[in-house]
Amino acid sequence: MRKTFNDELNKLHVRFAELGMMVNEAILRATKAFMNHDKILAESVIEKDPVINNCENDLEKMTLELIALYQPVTEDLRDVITILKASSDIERIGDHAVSISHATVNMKGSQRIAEIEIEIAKMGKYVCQMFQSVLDAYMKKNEERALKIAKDDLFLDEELRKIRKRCVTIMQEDSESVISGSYYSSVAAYLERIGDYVTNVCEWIVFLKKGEIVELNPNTRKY
Amino acid sequence: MKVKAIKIIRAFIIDFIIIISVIYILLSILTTENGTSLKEILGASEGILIVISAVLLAGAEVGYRYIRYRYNKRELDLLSQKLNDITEGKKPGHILLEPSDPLYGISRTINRLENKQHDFTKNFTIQQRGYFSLIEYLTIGVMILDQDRKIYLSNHAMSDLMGREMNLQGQIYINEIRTYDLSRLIEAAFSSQEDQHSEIRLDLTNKVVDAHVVYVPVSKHRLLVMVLLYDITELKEIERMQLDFVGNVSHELKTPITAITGFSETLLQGAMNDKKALPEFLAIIHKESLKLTDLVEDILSLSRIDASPELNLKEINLRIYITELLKTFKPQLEKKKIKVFLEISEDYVVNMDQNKLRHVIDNLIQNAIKYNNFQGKIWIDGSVDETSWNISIRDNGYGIPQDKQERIFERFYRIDTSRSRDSGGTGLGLSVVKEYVAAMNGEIILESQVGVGSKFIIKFPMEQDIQKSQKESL
Repeated sequence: MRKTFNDELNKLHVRFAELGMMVNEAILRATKAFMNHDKILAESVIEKDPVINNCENDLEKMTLELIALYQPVTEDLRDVITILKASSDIERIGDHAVSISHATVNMKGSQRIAEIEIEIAKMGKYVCQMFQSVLDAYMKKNEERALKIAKDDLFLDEELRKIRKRCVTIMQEDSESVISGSYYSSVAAYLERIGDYVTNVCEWIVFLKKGEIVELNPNTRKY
Repeated sequence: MKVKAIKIIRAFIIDFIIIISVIYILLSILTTENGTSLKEILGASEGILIVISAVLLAGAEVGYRYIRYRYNKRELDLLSQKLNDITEGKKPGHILLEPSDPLYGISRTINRLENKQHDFTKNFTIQQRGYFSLIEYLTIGVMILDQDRKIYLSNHAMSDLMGREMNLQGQIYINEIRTYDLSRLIEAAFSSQEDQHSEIRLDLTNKVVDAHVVYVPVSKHRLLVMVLLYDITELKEIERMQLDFVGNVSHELKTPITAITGFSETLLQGAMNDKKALPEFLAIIHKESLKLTDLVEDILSLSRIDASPELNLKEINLRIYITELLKTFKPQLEKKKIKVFLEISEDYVVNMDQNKLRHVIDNLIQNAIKYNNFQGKIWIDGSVDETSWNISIRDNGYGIPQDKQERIFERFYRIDTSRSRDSGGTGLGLSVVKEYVAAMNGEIILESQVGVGSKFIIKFPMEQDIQKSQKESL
């Protein structure tokens, strides 16, 4: 009984890791496509999204089955529940990568604002790194690192505020840049949202380790 | 201890009985020969004497046997201790026994065994070291997984290819790999128990690898899965470069030739009598033939650099030099309303080959203008430190995508293949620049982002003349 449960748990773990990898690739590609104005790469991200959604569905099915059939307790239950919760957060990150890709495709041809592009590129790199470290922290169940990553999210909030403000000023001055300006602020918002979801995953890492449901970075989500 | 005592007592009693019975039998034989009966000779005192002597004899015999036993036991202990040491991998000394000793034979065999085992271990260590360092320094990425999907071994090239530390023994591989395609391949090998093979792009390091996943059954419950990654990024690149080169060259040659043939044909068919068309068409033909000349010029200069890398060094005041260069670009600059900011100090003097440097800066400025927006800006900057000096040319034009940044130095490579921006040029400019910079012992660095602009930095060593004269003296 124990052995079969462990096998099932391992399978679940592998599938979850795969979801992480796919979403990681999706945001890497989406931000790269946005920076390089690469429509083809952006489209490939959009095309791959159904695979990510399927993977999440699989994970949901597998976790529910596991709970129903084996009725895990304590640490095992936490393992399963965390995967169930974290996978939906990660899948949402994948959706945001798709939104960024859509923005990349739609922006083609509109007038660009150089200084904002630099800021967004910086933000994109930061988000990619954050997601990679949160995956690492999850795999190694490293709670301290998770807490640290959650703190990093504050930088993204600050960056979003900055980009929004700058975009608005530029749009007020130059009506030509309204289209791109609005896209820039939405892309920055997507990136910031990804940061929030990463924070959520961090919360689940803490739960996995301690069994406490915590709220990291409360009161920062003001729009 | 108790067992030992019982054993001794038992041996003693058996000895005693045997001795008594031997004496009794001897005596009875003697008495029957003499014709006297036993009872006549044996009195009470003789009886006691016989018993006492039997006890003494038995005691002596048991004592002797005990001492022998102790001696043999010590030797056996030594031998077994040695065997234990051998199995534990220690290096015990040889055991030397007298040739007359009953254990002499076995002691020699054990000594020989030890020698043999020692040789085996030595060979094994050498082989293992060789094997591990071979794997470690292989240029192919190698990772070996066991049946629990844990990393058993992973080499340096693997970490390089994956862009993260992979040599984490005992970790589950799925926690460390970040490429979905590769993990799918490995999972497929585990579930189908068959070798897998595919071409995979690694996002983190931007490399293309030929991935082999080999399934190796070891015994009934044990197996190994080997992941072998062969870096084919360069191969792919060369393949593509060759294809592009042929395509680009024929395109570059064909465009002016088509124009020349087309317009001359029209002229010959009667258009030369048309006073308005004649000069116009001739001008076009002339322009296109000039383009061809440019192209041939560029190709020639490319081959010339390879042939003659000599430098004709002169002192150059960079500010004056570049101001002079910029004059030739005046019409182009005015046409696109581009502003140039020359930020080089007036006392900036360097030693360099004027012609080669002109070619380089000329080309870079040309690109900065060509790939810039209307009313764009260009910054030309320079700085010196102890060992090197550099010039940077920055624009706020179109910019170059990350993955194209290495490719723009290829011959005939164009980012915008549609040529919708109609920028002209031969497609050789930057490759000529790169060759010239290399000929001047310098390097060229590019920083760029799409929509933000590009910055080309050319960097040369300070000690140009000394290096050169050394080369000549050799």
